[in-house]
Amino acid sequence: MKNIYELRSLTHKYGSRRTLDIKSLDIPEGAVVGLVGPNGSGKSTLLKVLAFLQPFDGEMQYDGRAVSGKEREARMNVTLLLQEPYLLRRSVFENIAYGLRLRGCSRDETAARVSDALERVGMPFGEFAHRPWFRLSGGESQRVSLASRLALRPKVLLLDEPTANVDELSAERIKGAIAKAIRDWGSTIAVATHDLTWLYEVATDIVSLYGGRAAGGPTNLLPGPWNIDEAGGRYAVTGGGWKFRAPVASGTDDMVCAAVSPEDIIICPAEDEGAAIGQMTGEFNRARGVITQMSLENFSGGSGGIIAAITCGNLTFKARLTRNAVTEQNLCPGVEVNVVFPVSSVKFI
Amino acid sequence: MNYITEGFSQALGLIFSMNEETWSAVRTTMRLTMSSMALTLVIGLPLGFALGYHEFRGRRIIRTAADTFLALPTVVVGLIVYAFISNRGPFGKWQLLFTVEGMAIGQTILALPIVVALTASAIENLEERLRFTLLTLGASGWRMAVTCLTESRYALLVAAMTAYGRIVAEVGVSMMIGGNIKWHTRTITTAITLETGKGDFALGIALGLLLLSISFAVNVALSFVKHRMDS
Ligand SMILES: Nc1ncnc2c1ncn2[C@@H]1O[C@H](COP(=O)(O)OP(=O)(O)OP(=O)(O)O)[C@@H](O)[C@H]1O
Ligand SMILES: [Mg+2]
Repeated sequence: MKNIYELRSLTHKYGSRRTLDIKSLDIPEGAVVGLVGPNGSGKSTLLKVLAFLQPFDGEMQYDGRAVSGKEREARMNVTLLLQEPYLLRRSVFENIAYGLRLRGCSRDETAARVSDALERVGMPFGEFAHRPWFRLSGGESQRVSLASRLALRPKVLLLDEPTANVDELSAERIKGAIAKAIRDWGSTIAVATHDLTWLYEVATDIVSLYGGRAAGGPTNLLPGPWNIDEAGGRYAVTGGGWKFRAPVASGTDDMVCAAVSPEDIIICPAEDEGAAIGQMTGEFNRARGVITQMSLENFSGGSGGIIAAITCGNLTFKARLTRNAVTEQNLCPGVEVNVVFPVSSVKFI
Repeated sequence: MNYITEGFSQALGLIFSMNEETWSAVRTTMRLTMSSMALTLVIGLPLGFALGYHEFRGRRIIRTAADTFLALPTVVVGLIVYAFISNRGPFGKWQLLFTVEGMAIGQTILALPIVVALTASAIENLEERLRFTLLTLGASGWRMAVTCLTESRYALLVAAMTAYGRIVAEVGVSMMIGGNIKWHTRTITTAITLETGKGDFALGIALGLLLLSISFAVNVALSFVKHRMDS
């Protein structure tokens, strides 16, 4: 599949502070990419870079062409719903029509698209179209903002926490509208969210961010601080008191944050580690925690496996399990387990 | 105290039986303030916008200068404009002294800092979110600038009203540049000064009430405009 975005060695700074440092990131056309990461990890900044709102250093290709981050023309096909949406001080209709007028839509076309966009976010045209901006609730404003992006039928739709700060019903409507956009127009979507359950349902790819670093695929971040001991080994002591080791690889990493993939996580009852590890050799990292969540994985073309979240102190690990493993070991939320992963599977991002 | 109450009742009588001379002052005031306002807005809005919208070297200094000129005394402006347009001044050949046009120039200089400073700060205070929102919707260049202006329309209205208040109330420039010439450059404020000096309180009060009603009418009209902008 063709990549709509290709980022290489891309960095971004606010003043002298580095807020993005991405070695490599591809977004395939038509993908639904979820951006996850703690507060301040750079999700919004990355979305702004992807929306051509922020200048950056390094290399970014959009639709096969190198871009500098200020492209006007590309901005016509890419739109971003900001984390804190802003409505223009005009009516709902005028808010949604604004982008369409910029694109030279005729009157009839504009009216039709505004009405369609409002319907997509579950707001009746007759009731809302002519309301002024200040007679809307927070959730309604959020949906109008989304509608003003949907009306553009964008090739790339970037969403910054679209369901934060709204109630469940609004969140459902927003998710429904996004799902419909994917179906109807095949838009490429990148969405930052903390709603992991939803993300696992809709996302085709997940990108984890930590301190401006990005790791593709669903991954478990092991934030530092990472240290070097006398023997040259790398280790981090986490909040729970576990000491994790990492392989000494290239030596060029700057050890900001490490990651381990859910496939490499082994879950086993405390007393039965040997059987779980089986023939594997080498050094292992261990932590003890409780299964807090299990959900069905729904990646397009994925395995249909089960993703379990295990909370160990202030860290949460995601592990990919097979149905067999779940039934054989009687795994369910609330069960206390050991999390085991090979030191060699730890990678710096 | 008696002369004040008497003055008021006589003033009402005078207003209703308005003589031609008083009318002339009212008309001059209207013509003068309207031209000054138009000139101030035409120059001040773009200037203030440019100052608030663009980042450039020396911007801080210009902003500070505009803020300083907010407190410019009317007589100082009168003095400077007088010096420039009197027969000996560099613009003397245009014969602007003792004309309404000359007064309008003086009043514009007086009100310009208000419009420039308030417009600039209105534009500066527009949220970053607005800029980002417009960019994500595909706006750029002049479309973006125009939308920024319309988004700050309330603040701009306040700027215009403040400037109007300064223009309509000032007497220094009108007196020095206009010379308070009957039928010609006499405005309500200069007339009040004159009548009070002569001891004719009733006429002074009548003129003062007229001036207030003009301001009131303008404000009612503007709040009507504001109301229209909301819906
Ligand atoms: N306008 C700004 N000026 C300076 N620093 C900023 C600005 N915006 C964000 N930052 C910094 O950049 C870093 C990344 O911020 P960003 O908003 O991208 O995080 P985020 O992942 O979206 O967080 P959240 O989940 O809280 O929305 C943070 O450390 C933040 O302090
Ligand atoms: Mg954010």
